[in-house]
Amino acid sequence: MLDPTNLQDIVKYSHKLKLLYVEDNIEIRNSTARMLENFFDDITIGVNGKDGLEKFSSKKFDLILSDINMPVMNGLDMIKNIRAIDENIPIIIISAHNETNFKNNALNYNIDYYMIKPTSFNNFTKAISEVVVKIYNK
Amino acid sequence: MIEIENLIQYSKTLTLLYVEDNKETRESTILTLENFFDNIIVAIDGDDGIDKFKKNNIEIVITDINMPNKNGLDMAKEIKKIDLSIPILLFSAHNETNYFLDAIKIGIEGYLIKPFNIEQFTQSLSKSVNNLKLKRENLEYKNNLENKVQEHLKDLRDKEMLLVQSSKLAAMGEMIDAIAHQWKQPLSVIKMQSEIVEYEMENDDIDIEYIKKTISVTKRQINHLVDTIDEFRSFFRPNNNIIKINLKSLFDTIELLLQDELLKCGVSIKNNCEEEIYLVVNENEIKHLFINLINNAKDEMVKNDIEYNQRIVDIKTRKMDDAIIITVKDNGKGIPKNIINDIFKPHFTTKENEGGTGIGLYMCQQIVEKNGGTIDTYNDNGAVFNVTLPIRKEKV
Repeated sequence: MLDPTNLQDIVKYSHKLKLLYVEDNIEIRNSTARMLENFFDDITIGVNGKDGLEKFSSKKFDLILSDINMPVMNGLDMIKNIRAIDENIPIIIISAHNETNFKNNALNYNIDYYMIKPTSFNNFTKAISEVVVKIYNK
Repeated sequence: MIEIENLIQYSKTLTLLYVEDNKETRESTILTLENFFDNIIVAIDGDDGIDKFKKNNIEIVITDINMPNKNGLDMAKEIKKIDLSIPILLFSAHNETNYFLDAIKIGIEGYLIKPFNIEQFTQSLSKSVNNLKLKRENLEYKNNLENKVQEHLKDLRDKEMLLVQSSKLAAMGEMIDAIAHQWKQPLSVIKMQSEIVEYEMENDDIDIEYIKKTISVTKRQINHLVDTIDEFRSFFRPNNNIIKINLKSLFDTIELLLQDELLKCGVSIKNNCEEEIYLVVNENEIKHLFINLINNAKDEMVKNDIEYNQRIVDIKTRKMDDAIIITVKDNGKGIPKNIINDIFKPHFTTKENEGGTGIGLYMCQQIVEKNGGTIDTYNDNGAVFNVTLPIRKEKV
């Protein structure tokens, strides 16, 4: 079992996982990606929901981190499509909204973690740790 | 008898001008007249009569005909010229037709034959008094009506003020929402970048290049925040300045204001304004007007699920001799025929479930008309709004 308070062990494990990260805003994407490199070696980028869906079909991922408000296809629609293919893959979403309405909507898609913008390093650490521990303990 | 009592009750309130040159006739007649009138102004001939008429608020005139300096008929003619509605009763010793004819021509209300006959007098006076009563009631009614109209107009103005306030508040609410939304991205970036540098420094992983990059990215984000705030702030400053603005730049600014929201909805603006077209208008109002139109276009195209790469708002300008026409066209499904005549009415909205205020297009029309222009709409593969504004000279 992985200890959720032991960040070093968590990070050691997470580096082996394959992450799909979907975000449309280039500046957010770049800074977040750099932060994610502390956790993951294998990061695939999607620039909107449609691109994310295509990348998802291209190889096997261990978890997905995605923004919601994106052009062409938004995050929730992308997740709906992904869930149709894979019920279990862990998903973390990042949203600008903070309405309970929206949260409930998200829960319908079996989301593992829900982050609100603006995000912070600490928030990411917490989210990733929790989900990585879940993956390990399965 | 009751009739006479009523008559006297009313006649007592009137100011009478009594004109008679013969002293005895005058004094004895006055004694009788005092039963009917509390306020009697006396004149001794036609000229004196005119003079006293002008100097007092006379409501009824009783006059002899044959008088020195000016006779009663000529005096009556002049009085009628000043105020046609004053009742004049002629007291005549003559019973000849030419006086009758003249009297009728002038518009005399009563012709009494001397000697004084109380029945004849009361009959004539009654008629005049009734006319006066009607005249007074009419005047009161008219004043009342005018007051009511004034009150109603004020009411309408107050309601219009409330609508304007309400619209401004709604616009403010939307703007604050937009600011909050627009700010989340740059704030996220600034936060993330600083935290990454902090983390890497804590782990002795100092990358000078990355720190430099972080600084420039952060500066860029901060500028974006400041630009947005300046735009929003100037929009809400009470600004009645009428200035000369370039239309193409105006729409560039509007695009900047709305960019995040537009991007999110996949809507793009095609600014096809001619370069050298200027307008002398209230800048904030015109901005408000076009932001409204563009937002409506955006909402319609999203609602009707128009294909992402087809969500275009096209802006064009055309210069006429004395006016400029600005056309805002979208690629939506157009405005339904059954409501196109209603959309500018206040409280009319197609967004009941999304909290539509119904004031947007109404305010657009108000702004356009306030600036001396017109706005109209029709469908042409989407909704088209034409705003026509007069070309004005800038005040120096």
